[in-house]
Amino acid sequence: MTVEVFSYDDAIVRKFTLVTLVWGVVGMLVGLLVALQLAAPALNFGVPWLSFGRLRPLHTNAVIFAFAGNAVFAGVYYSLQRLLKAPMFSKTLSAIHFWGWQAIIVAAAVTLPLGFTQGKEYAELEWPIDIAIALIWVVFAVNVFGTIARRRERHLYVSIWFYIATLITIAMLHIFNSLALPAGLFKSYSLYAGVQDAFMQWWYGHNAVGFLLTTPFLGLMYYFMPKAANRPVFSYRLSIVHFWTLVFMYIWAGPHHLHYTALPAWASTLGMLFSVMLWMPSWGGMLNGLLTLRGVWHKVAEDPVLKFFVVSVTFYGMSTFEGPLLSVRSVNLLSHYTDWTIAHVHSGALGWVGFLTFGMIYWLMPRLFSTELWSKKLAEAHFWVGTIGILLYIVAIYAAGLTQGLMWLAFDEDGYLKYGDFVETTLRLIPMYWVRVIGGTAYLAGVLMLAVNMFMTWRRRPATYQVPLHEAPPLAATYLPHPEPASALRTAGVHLADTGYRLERFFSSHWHRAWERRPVKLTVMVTVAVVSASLFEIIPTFLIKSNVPTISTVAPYTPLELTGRAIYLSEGCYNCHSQMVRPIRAETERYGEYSKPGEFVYDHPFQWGSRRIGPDLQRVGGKYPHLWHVRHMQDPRAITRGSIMPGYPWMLHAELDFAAIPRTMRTHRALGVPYSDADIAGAVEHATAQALGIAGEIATQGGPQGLERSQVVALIAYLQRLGTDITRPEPAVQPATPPVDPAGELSSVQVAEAR
Amino acid sequence: MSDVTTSPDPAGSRHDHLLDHAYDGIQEYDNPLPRWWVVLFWVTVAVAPLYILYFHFGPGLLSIERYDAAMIAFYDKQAEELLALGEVKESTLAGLMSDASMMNSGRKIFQSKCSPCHGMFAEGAIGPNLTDDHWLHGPQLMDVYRTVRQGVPEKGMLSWERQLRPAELLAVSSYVGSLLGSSPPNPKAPQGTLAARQPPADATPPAGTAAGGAAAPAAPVS
Repeated sequence: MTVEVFSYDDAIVRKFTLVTLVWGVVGMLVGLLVALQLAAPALNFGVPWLSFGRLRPLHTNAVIFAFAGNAVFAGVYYSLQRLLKAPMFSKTLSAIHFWGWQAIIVAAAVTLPLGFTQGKEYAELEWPIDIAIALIWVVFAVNVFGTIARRRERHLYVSIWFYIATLITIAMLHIFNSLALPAGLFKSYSLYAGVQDAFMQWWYGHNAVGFLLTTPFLGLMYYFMPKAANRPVFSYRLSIVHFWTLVFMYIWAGPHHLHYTALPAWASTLGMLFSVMLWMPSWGGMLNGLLTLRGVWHKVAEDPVLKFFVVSVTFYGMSTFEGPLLSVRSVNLLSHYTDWTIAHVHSGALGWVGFLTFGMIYWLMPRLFSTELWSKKLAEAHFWVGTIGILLYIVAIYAAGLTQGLMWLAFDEDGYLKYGDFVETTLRLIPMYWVRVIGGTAYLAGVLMLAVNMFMTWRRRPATYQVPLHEAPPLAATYLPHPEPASALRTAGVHLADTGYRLERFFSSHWHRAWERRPVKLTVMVTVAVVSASLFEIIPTFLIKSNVPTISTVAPYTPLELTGRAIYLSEGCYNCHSQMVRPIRAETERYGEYSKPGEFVYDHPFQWGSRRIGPDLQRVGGKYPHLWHVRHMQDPRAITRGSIMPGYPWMLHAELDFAAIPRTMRTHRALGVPYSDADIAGAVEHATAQALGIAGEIATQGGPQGLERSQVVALIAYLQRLGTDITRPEPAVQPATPPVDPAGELSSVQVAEAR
Repeated sequence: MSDVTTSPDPAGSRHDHLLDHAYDGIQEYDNPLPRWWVVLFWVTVAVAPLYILYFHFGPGLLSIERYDAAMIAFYDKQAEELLALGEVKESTLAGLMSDASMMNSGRKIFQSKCSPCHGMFAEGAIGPNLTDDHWLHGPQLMDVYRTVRQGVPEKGMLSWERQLRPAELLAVSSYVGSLLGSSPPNPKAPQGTLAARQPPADATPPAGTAAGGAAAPAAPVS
C-alpha cells in the first residue's frame, strides 16, 4: 500500500483569522456609533454619510459578511484540510477567495455610506458587488469541492455536511434575492415588486441567518468543540437527524418575518408552523455540543476556549427557542417592529456567532503561530467582559422591546390609544439605549483584548513556521463497506411487511453511512432539500393571482415621486420606518387603514421595513402640509420634541438630478411598470412642473423660497403620495377633466396625477 | 497533534458505544436520540396540521377577521355615543367642554394630530395660534368644527373628516374651543380678524356650566 506525504496550508487560515478580527472591530465600532445615535441623535453630526440610515446597513453587512463570513472561512480552511487529510485544492483559488472577499468588503464599506443601496435589508449592496460576491462564492465552492475530490478520508464528517449545505444554499439565496435590473453603474431596481419582493427578501433574510450564521457555525462547532474538549461527539445519529431536519425545515420559515402583513395568510401560517417544527432540529445541535462535554465539565473552569464554547452553544439554544416563540402569530403581534427582534438577533450574533468565533480563535492561535498563547488571563478577562456586555445589551433591549410593544398596543378605558403620540414610546426607551451602549462597549473592549492577545502571541512566533508533514494512503479504488447491523425486529422474530423493515432501517440511520462516502449524492440531496422547500412556497407566491387582488386606483408613481422614492431608498429610511399598517385596531387608529397587497404592485423594491424606530409611513401621504415636511427634514426636533430622527438639512440644498429620471422610468418599465413612451418623453417636464407646484405651496405656507430643484421636493412628493391611492376616486368617475392623450387613453402618469 | 484521538469517558461508567471511525482524531458515540427530544419533535410536527385545520378550515379567526370583529365592537360603542349626542350644534360643542372624558380625548387627538402644525399648546407654528381672539375662519365652535372637518387645503389645513371618527371630530373641535384665552408660552402673532365668540343661541347650556362665549373658561383638563 502506497503512502502519500502532504502538508496543510495554514497561511491562508492565519490571513482569514486576522481579517476576522479587523473587520469585527470595524463592524462593532460602527454598531456602537449607531447605538449612540439612537440615544443621542446629535451624533449624526448632520453629515450625510454618518446618518443612521446609511450606517446601520454598514454595521449589519460588516458583522455578518465580514466578521462572521471571514470567521467561517478561517474555520473551514483549517478544519476541512484535516478532516479530509488533504491540502486545499488550489492555493491560487484560496488567494483569490481571500483577496476577492476583502475587496468586496472594502467596496461595501465605501458604497453604503455614500448611499448606494438596493434598499433590501442585509442585501443592500449594489449589482456590481453582488456579481463579485457570486463569483467569489463560486471560487470558494470549487476550492472546497476540489479538496473533497482529492480527499484521503473516505467518509465526510458531519462538519462537512454543514459546509456543503452552506455553500449550496447561500449561492441560491444570494442569486435569486438579488436579481435586479441596473439603471446605471451604482443603481439597480429589484426584479420583484411588493408582496413577491417581500417574500423573496425574507426567504433570503431568514435563511441568510440559517445558512451563514447557523449551519457553518454548527460545522465549526462539530470540529472545534470535540477538539478543544478532547471528547467524542455525543451522538452520531442525532447529528444525522438534526442536520437533515434543520436543512429542510429552515427554508420554509422565512414568512414568519411577515406576519400580519399583506403577505397571504397561508404563507404566514407555513412560516410559523415550520419555525415551531425547527425548534428540536436546532436543539439537536445544542445537545450534541453540550453533551459532548460530559465528563469534562471540570475543564470548562480552567479553559477559556471551552468557556466561550459553552456560553456560545447556550446562547444558540436560547435563540433557537426564542425564534419559534417569536414566530407564533400572537407573540409576533407584540414583538414585531420592536427592539425585541434586535435583542433576539444580538443574543444570537454576540452570543452564538461571536463567542464561537472567539473560542475558535483562542484555540487556533497557539497552533497557527506555533507558540503559547501570550496571556490566558487576558483571554479569561475577555470572556467575562464579553459575557457581561452581552447580558447588559440584551436585557436592556428586551426591556425596550417589551415596553414599546405594550405601549403601542395600549388603549385607555374609552377605547382610544393610550400613547397616541409615537414619540412618547420612543422617549421611554432612551435610558435603555444608554445601557445598550455600555453593554456594547464592554463587548467591544473584550474584542480589543483578543486583538492585543493575538498581536502579542504573533510576536512570539518562530522565525519560520515549521510545516508538519502528514502521511496517509490514497483512497483505494474499491471499498468494501462494513455490513449494516442486522434488523433488530427480524432478529427478535417480529413478522412485518417489507415496508416495516424498511422503516426500521430508515429510522436506524445506518443507510446514511453510504451517503457520507458519496459527496455528489450528499450534495445533490442537500440541493433537493433546499430547492424543493423553497419552491413549495415560491411557486404559489408568484402564480396564485388571488394572493394580490388588484386595486383599480393604484397607479404608478409620477416621475418626481419615483425620484423621491430613490432618495428614500438611498437614505435608508426603511431602517427606521415601516410601510406596512397591520390589521390591528391599535395600528389603524394610529396610522390609518391597514395595508392591502394590491397597493405595492409598483414598488421595486418593497419598503415594508422590519423595525419601527420611527412611526409607520404607509399612510403619511396627505397627513401633513408640505411645509411640515420641510421643517421636519431640516430639524426633526423643532417639530417633535424628543424625536431621535437625524436631520436632513442638506436635502434643501442638494440638487435633484432631473436628467436621470427617464432612465429610472425606462428601468421600471422593463420591470413591468406601465409607463408609456409619452410618459417617459415628458418625464422631465412633468417632474419640473410637479416640483414647481410643491415648491410654490411651500412658499405660500411661509416656508423657504425656490426649493423647486432641491431633493427635498422630490422626497415630499413621494411621501405625500404614500398610501393615498386606495382612497382616490375611481378614474371613471373622476370629476375633474384629466388631460387625455390623442389616442383617447389616459396615460398612467396622468391617472396618477388626477387624484 | 492530529494523530491523537479524542479520549472516551475516563470513568467508563457510560454504556456509550463508540463508533469505529475517527476524523482528524474526532470520534463519535452511537448514542440514541434523547427520548424527550423525539417526543417534542413529533409534537411540533403534529400541531401543524391541527393548526391549519382550525384556522384555515375551521372556526379559528385569521388576522383580518379578528380585526373586523374588533372594529365592529368599537363602532357599536361609538354609535351609541353619537346617538346620545344628537344633532351637532354650537351648544353640543359647548356642552362637551364640561365632559372631562371628551376633553381628555380631545387633548390627546390635538397633541398627536394638530400639534405638529399648531404647537403642543395651540400657540401656533406652521399653522395659526388657536388661543388668541383673532380668527381666520370664524370664532364660533361650529366654525372650528367645520374647519377641522373640511380643512382649508389651499392654506395647508388638512381635512380630518376621513381621518378622525365623528366623536373624535367633536372632541377635538370642542377642545380647541376650550383653549381660547389660555395664554400658552411662545405664542405666534395673531392672524385673521378680531372676533368675539357668541354664546350658543340655540339652547340653554347644560346645568352647572357657565354660559359659553368668549369668556368661557377652559375645562379643567389634566
